[in-house]
Amino acid sequence: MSVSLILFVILAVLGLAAVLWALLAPLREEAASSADTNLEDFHPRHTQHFPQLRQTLDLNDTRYMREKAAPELHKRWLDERRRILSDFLAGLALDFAKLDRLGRTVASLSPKLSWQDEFRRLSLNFRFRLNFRLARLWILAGGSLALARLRYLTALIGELSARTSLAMARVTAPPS
Amino acid sequence: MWHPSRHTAHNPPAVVGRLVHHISTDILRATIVLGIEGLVFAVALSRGLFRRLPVFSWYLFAVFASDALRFAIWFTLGFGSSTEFVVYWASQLLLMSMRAGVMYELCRRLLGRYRGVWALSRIVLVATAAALLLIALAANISSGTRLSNMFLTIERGFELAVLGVLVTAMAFCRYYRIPVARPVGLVGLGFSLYSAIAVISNTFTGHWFLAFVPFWREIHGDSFLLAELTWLIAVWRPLPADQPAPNLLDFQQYSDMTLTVNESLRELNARLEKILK
Repeated sequence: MSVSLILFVILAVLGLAAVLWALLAPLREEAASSADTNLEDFHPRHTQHFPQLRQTLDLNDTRYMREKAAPELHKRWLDERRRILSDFLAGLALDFAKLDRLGRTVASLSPKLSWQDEFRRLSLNFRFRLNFRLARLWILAGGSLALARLRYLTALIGELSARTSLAMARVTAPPS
Repeated sequence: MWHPSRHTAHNPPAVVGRLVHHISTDILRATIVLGIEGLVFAVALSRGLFRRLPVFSWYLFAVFASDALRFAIWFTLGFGSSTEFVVYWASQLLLMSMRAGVMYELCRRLLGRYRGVWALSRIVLVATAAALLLIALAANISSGTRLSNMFLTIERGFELAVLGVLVTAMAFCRYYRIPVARPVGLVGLGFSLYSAIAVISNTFTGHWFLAFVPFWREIHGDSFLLAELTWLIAVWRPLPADQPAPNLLDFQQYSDMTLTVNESLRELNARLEKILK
């Protein structure tokens, strides 16, 4: 067995482990949401502040600050921007976790489950976790692509909300 | 359940000779094994486990009885007689069938009270077990024609299926946040430990790490005692009262509740659509 093959196998295993971790390991916000027993408080609050955040991330502001502001001020501005983005990202995760918890609890108590709905929710969960972790990396790196990632995460929350609503409607629909 | 390691293809013939000289050690070992198995069964009986987990309780009895029979045959007819071989594998077959029953009982106990989840998980659990058994059967084709090898491969497939079913059932509990009663969890843990060690032992020592074969055989042999001790912990304390069945919503209640929730979700969706435009 050649050294390059061994290296390839090690890298493949590490890569697979990293992907599995990104998909399967629950987010900190999910654990925090589990501790909260109040199921009625599922309403996503943070998601709705996306327009304000988009304004904060305006590319013109970024360009202006880079060109006009003193380096010290620019650095402080970047740090502050990063903090706001991180807080918003954590808020999105909390919103998602609450909605997901609502969906799972309702599913566990419902007399009939559709495997398609359950599979879609699980897939949404994986997609959210993966994109959340990528977004965090983008924010830490200070990349401007973080906005697109956050927009996608917001859309995933919308999709989860729609799916939960649809799944509940399907279960309560009178049998044809 | 004691495993005489001689039924494997890896033990040199010298082991048989050594066994004759170490008969007192073997009697001591038989006493310990039967003592622990008997103690677990007796404590389970006194705690009223027959009412909660009847198949598992019968399984504990069957383990004790079959080991007593195996030891009796071994000490009277010797280690290596055809009777011993037949009795060992016949009792293995019986115990494996009972373990399949225990798996069903455990899964039913864990998930059965949640009608929707149980209906869905049953399909997944059966598919998991079937897939793992099929993999084992496929591996069996390449394991040769030797009878003991064939039995070992089937046993490995079965233990893999047991492990897969338990892990899947626990994943369902975790996903839907279904509470797991301590004794049921510990019984499952005991089976998982035993099955995991059996799979590792049968797989790795069959192909790789041949130098560690005696070591792994010892661990495999003793792993059932580890499971028995886990079950002893499970039944040592009085069993907690049965958890009340969750309030599954009836159709009308569910419809009423979903109306309110759906209204909120629709409102949220409308806002999100506006935001994302």
